[in-house]
Amino acid sequence: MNLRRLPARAAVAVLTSFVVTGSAIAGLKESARTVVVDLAARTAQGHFSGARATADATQLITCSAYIGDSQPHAEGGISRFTNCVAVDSKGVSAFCWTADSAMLASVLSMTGDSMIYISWNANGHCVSIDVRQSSALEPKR
Amino acid sequence: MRPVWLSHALAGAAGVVLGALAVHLWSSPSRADDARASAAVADDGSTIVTPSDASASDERLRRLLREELARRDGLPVARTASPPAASTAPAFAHSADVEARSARANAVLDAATARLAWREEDAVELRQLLSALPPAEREALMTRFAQAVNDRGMRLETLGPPF
Repeated sequence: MNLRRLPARAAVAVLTSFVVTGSAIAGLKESARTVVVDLAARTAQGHFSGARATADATQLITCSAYIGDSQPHAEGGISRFTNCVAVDSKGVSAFCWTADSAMLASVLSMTGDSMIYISWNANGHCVSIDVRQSSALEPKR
Repeated sequence: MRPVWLSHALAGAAGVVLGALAVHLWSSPSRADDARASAAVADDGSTIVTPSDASASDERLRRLLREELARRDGLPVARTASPPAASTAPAFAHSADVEARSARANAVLDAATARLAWREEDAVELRQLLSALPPAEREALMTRFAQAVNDRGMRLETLGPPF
């Protein structure tokens, strides 16, 4: 090992660590906050935190999971379903629901900072519920 | 010590007694046999299935007598001997209360669809109604709700979930 060059290597290492730290502080940040509803394409998307942070009081994106027994003293009353709602800045609304257990699990995995994308068919049944977690998404304020 | 001839005599006597007892039991008619014989007289040629116990036989006899009396009096014969078939209806009991809730839920949705706005009070009421509806009716209602929102432009004005 060349001891004369050791300080130079240490300096490079220190500088590299600053660069790495600096890039983590900067990071990629998505600024899109608006809820987008496309009724013709039967799709909607939005970011929980971003929608909440918008200036208007209209935008909304919500997903709910329901498990209930409407006949607790007999068989056949249990049902499970989930639904999602999206409202854009103009008040255009979208709704889909499903009893699919995998989609219900997807809704249960959402957090307050999730970005979601939904699509539905002609009967309003959810065709997809995509959940995205990302460092680029701003946290709820 | 007992003589051999005495043992043989006792065994023979026991055999005679057992044999007589067996013949008596074999030849005695049971209550079921009595009922079967009576029923055969009352019925006009129809085949009678032998019952497995006396009570079933008595019940069949009563039924046959009722049928014969009804025929004699010119009344329609009701054959109610066989039990009704098992119900294949869904497990959920449809009561008048369920029907009333379903009608009210659809009325709430119809009113909101007409005004093209789904409000917080609608959500509260439908949430309560939905919890008591059978799954099939609940799903039909949600499909109608989705079509009102996505196809007819009903706006969601609730603060949270629509119901």
